[in-house]
Amino acid sequence: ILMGADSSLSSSITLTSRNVDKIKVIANPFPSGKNSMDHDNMANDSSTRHDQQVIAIASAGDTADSERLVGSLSAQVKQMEFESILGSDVVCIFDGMKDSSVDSKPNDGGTNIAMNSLLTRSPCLDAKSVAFLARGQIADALRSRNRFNTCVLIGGMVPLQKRHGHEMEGVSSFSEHIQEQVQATTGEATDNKNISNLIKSDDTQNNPFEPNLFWLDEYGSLQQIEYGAHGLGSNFILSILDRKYSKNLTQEEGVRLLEDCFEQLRTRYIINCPESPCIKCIDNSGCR
Amino acid sequence: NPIDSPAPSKTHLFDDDIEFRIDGGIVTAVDSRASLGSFVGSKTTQKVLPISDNILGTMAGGAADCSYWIRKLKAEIKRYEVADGSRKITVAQVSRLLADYLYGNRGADLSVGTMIMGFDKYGPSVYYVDNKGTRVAGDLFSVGSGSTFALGVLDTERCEGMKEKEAIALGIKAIRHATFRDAYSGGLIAVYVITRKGWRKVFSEDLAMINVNESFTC
Repeated sequence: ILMGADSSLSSSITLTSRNVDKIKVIANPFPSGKNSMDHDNMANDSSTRHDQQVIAIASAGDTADSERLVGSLSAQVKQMEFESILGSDVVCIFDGMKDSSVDSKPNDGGTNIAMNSLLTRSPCLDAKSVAFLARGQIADALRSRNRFNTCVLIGGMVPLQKRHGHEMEGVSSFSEHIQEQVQATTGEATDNKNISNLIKSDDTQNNPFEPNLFWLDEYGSLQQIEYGAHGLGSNFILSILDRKYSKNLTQEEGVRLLEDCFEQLRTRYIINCPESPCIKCIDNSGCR
Repeated sequence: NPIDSPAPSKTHLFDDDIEFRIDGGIVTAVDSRASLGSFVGSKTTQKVLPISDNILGTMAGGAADCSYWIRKLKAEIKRYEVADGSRKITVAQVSRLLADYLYGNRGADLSVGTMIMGFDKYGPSVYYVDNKGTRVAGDLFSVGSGSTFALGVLDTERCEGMKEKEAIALGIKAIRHATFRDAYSGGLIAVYVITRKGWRKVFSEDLAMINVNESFTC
C-alpha cells in the first residue's frame, strides 16, 4: 500500500507548520526497520510474520481531532498486543511461542504444532479491524457533542481468508480455536493430518497477507477501496488515479503515480504546500 | 484582522508573538497591547508567562483564556515537580497537558493561541498549542493578528545558524514591522531568550518612542 500526504498545517491564511507528518503508523512490528522475514529463526520471527502487521493511518481534516482519533486507535492496538502476550489465561496457557522454557527447534514435532496452531490465529488487531473500530468511534462521536472532524485512510496487510478443505477455516469461532489448540498440544504426533494442513496453508501462498485500504469519512462511512483520496484536493487526484491506477503497478510505478498526483495539486490547487509530499509504503516488511 | 471576531465584552489580545529556534536556544518576541475592540485596554500587558525555570508560554487570542490556562498549567507543573522532584518535566509533556485541557473544552468557544517553549533534557523545543487542541512542534511560529506581517520579515531574513544577537535583532525587527502595520499590536516590545541555563528577558522597548524614519533603514 502506498500512501502520500502533504505536510502543511494551517488554521487560517498562515501556514502554522510545514513539516507535519499526516501518515501515522499505529502498529509496527518492525520498529528498527529491519526485515525480519528470516526463516532460520522461525520461533521468534514467525510470530511477527503472522501476528501483527503494520497498520498506517493517513488523516485529512482537523489536526487536533485526527491526533485524538489516531491516538485512541493506537492505544487499542497496543492494548490488544499486550493482552495477547499477557492477557487472558486461556491464551497464556497455549502460548508456546512466548514461553522461554519451550524448546523451539523446528525439528521437535510437538512444539512445532503448538507454534503452528498459533500461527494461524492472530490475536492482534489488523487493519480491517482497526478500520471498523474507527468507524464506530467516529459514528459515536458524531452523535454526541464532540465530533471528529477528520477523514482518514487506513491501510495495512490483512491475513488472507483461508479456504481449505476442512476444519482449518481462516477465522472460526473462539471455541473451535481453543479445541484446535488443545488438540495441537495434546495430540502430538498422532494428528498428522493437522500438521500437514497447517504446513500446507503456509506454503501454498508465500505471502499469506493481502493489502487492504479503507476509506473513512468524517460522517462514519466506511468503504474498502483500491485507491482513494481525502481532503480538499482529493477531487483533483481521484481522476488521475481513476485513469492510471491498475492492480499490477510495481512500487516504482506507484510512487510515480503519487508524485504525478501531487504535481497536479501544485499546478492547479490554490493552496501551495511548499514541502514535497511524504510518501510511505506499507507491506509485509514494514513501513518506509 | 483577528481570526475570531470577539464578543464585545471580552478583552482580546489580538497581538503578535513570534518565536524561533536557533542553535542552542529559543528566541521569542512579543508586543504588549491588549484591546477591547477598538479601545486599547492596556499597553503594558505581560504576554510571556513563565511556566517553570526553563519553560515559557506566550499569550495570543483571548487574554482571560490564555492567562487562566497558562496559570493553571503552571500550578500543575509545580505540583508535578514537587511530587516527582528527581525528574524535570519536559516541554512535550507540558504542551500535551495544555493541549488536552483545551481539547476537552473545545466546545466552550475559547480563544487561545499559545506557544510553549523551553529547553529540557532533549534540547530546545517549541510547541504551538491552539484552542482547538492542535499541538504542533516546530522551529518557527508566529501567532496573533499581526502574525502575517511578522512572518514576512522573519521568513525572508532568517538564515541557518543564526547567533543569539542576530536572532534577537531579527525578532525585534519583525515585531516592530508587525506593530507598524497591525492596529491591534503595539505598546512595548519584549524579547526573551531561553538557553540551557533557563530563560531571561533580554530586551524591552517602548514602541511609541521609536523614530519611525530611523528604525526602518536597516
